[in-house]
Amino acid sequence: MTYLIQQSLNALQLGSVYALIALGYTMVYGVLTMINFAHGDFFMVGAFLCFLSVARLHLPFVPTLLISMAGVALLAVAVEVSAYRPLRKAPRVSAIITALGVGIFLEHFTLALSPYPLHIPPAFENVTWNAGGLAVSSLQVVTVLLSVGLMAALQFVVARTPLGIAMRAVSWDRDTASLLGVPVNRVISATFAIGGALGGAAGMLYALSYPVIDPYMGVLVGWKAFISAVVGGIGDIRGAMLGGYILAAVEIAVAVALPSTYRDFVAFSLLIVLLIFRPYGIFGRPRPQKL
Amino acid sequence: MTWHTAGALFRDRRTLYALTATGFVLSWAIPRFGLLDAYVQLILMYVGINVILCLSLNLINGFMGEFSVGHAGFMSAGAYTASLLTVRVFPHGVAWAFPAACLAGGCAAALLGLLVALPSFKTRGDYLAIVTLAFVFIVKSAVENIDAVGGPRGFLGMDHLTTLPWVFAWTVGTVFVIRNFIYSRYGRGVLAVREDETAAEFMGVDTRQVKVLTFVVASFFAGVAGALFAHLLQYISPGMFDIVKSTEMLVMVYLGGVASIGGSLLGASLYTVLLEVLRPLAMWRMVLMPLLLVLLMIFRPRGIMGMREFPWFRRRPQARGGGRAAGVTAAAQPRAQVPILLDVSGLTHRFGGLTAVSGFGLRMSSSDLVGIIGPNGAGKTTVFNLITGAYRPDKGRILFAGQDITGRRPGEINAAGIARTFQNIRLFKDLSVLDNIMTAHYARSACGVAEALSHAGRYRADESRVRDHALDLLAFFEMEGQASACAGSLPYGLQRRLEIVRALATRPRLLLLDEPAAGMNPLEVDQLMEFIRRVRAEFAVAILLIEHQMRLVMSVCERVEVLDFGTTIAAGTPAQIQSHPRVLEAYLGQEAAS
Repeated sequence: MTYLIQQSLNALQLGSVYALIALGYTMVYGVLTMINFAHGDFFMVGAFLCFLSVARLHLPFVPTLLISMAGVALLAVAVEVSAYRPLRKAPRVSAIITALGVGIFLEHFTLALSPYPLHIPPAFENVTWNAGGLAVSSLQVVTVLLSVGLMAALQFVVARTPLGIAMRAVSWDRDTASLLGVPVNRVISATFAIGGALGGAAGMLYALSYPVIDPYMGVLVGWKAFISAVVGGIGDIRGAMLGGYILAAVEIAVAVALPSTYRDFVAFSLLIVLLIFRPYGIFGRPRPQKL
Repeated sequence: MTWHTAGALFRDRRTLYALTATGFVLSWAIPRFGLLDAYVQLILMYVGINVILCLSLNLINGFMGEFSVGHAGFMSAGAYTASLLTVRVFPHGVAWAFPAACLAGGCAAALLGLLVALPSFKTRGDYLAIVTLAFVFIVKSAVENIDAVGGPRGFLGMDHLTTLPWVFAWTVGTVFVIRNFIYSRYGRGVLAVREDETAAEFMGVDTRQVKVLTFVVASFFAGVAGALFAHLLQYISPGMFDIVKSTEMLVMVYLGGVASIGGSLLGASLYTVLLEVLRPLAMWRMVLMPLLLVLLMIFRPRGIMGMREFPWFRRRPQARGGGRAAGVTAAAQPRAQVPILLDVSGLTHRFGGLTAVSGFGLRMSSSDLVGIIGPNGAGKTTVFNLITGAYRPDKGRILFAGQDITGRRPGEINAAGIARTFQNIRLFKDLSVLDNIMTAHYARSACGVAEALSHAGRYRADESRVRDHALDLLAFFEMEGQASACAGSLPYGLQRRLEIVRALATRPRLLLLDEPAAGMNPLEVDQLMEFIRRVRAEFAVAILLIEHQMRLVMSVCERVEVLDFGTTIAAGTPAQIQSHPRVLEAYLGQEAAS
């Protein structure tokens, strides 16, 4: 029983990271109906910024968090403006290929700068509390609380603020929104910035929990987060959060039952099965085809 | 030598044969006599392997217009299967072992291709990209979990069996087979799927068959390339065949040019050589590769050759078969008559809470010309979509020539004898007028897969029969002059007409026209009326048409059905309809009607 609760706690921690990244995928998809394949690598850049801040600049937790979030937000906007915006009217496939290219560019660029895996020292003293055979670390608590806080903030922004209304309007019909005076380009950039900031936070939290980082770390984690977004129904914010926790629970369960090397195998098979039988996820709705 | 003769050489197929023969001799002589540096020979072999990969990926991504990144997975399957066979199963030092292993590697990959094709039935574009990407991860993860092939550490022990002649032979074979495939009925299906998958299906193209075939052919060659790669490097590991490998292939495809054989030869060669030239940059050239891809997408998304083709690889111009074909009209192709051709009853369809069609019924004999009119949103097009199989009705039954076709797929319904046009023109815009018509012959072609891949057997006879029939159809409607024009470049009225001719090419007994006069000026409407009468008379088809142009409906149709809120509110001759109180009410409102 304690073992089960312990594993659930671990799932909660991992799921928080997945959910934060999944939000970035889902927001961009909601607004542009484009899958930003580079988003996993934004997450990786967040982890590297965390390394710079903690290991090189010796900054404490909060400034590090701000650096990671702001840095990745800036990167996301830069990528949007320079690579995705010129393709907004191009066939969708061009945009996907570009996103794939941007992702690999970020990986290889980071690899060229830092060819060896890096170790991140702890950003704050990590206390572990033991109670009745359960081990809970302060890092776990911070990860879960911070993620939930960020998600609540995002929910508030999308539901209550003018920016959120504009985002939903652009998501529904970009041309009409533009005719009604919504500054579409700025809204899209803002979406990338918010998604990037959440990805940066996720990168930092992940790097502090699993402190060896390398340029390819974003590929697998990014894909897992993407699966989370699809599980919840891509384009749906609540879906992305829920999907993150579901996938983490499945993964931990697989790791308990099978050799851990089967984890990816199961996760990706799950994705394919899902896409075949319920491609619009838990909260998504199919749109009928018009002839 | 003048430019003129140079151009003639470039166009003459015999030059290609001569070059290929020279290539074979050279590929044997170069390693035999050490004519080139070993390093250059190695590069040449990589060029060949990359051409095979690039061309086979181009088949899926360029010609078919799908987006797959699964090629690394297929390559991996081919590499591991072939290596296992040569190292563990086949006796060493026998001549047949290597080609057999390559074939087996290709077949293993083709089997996986079959699996990956299945989700492509339902999904396209980004979703297919995700499925194929997940596929690459699954293959990698699966291989890492198989200890017998070394797991994540990789597999070695292969002899250096990949030689220049083998690479050259497989490259030539790949170009030959893929080119044959493209210029066959299946190839036309592939292009039609790219241009407009939905329209293709309604024109009788078996899109599932086309997709399965394309994936199987493409993955077979990816597997062969994997086998060659494994026996060149003599070491493989799961990490080699990851998403970066697939991206490399994408760069080659989009650099050389989509939907172009010449483009793939060019792209693969350029990219391979470029990477070697940039070797001094070390890690930074791997930064350049994705950057190149992004720049290509922004500035030249279709690549250098961009859907154009070297003359050598174009379709051979064919002379018309023996004289004029038997003819295209009904007199030449008589068919058994049935008293009731179409019998629709109780048809109901809902979109969420909205009932678009409710309890619709209609009977037509095999020579009827019936019009459906009604206000916007009355459910007219939905009725068409239900009859042609785009939607599955919630209730009701559709009998056609005595058989129940309710809920069948569009292709099957087309095969039963119903063809349609679309409210918004859905031609295969980038294909020629002739190819548009020939594509609609898909279901009635006799050419099998093996014949299509080899251009042997019935291929030639079948191809010229289809071609002659298509030309005769065009000639009948005085459009022969436009046969080689691009369908999207025709003037609007002609595009509408071509869409009807394309529907006729599937030899329907019932033709459904969805707003054929939309956007036409009065003169064009006059011509269209004449056209519709002629089609009915000469082709002996029943016609059901939706139209808002009352002049056309009232003068062409013998019977008119008026639809409102998904049900027939009135039916009768045009004269009866014009004075029917419920019709006036539906169109003008109650007050004006009374």
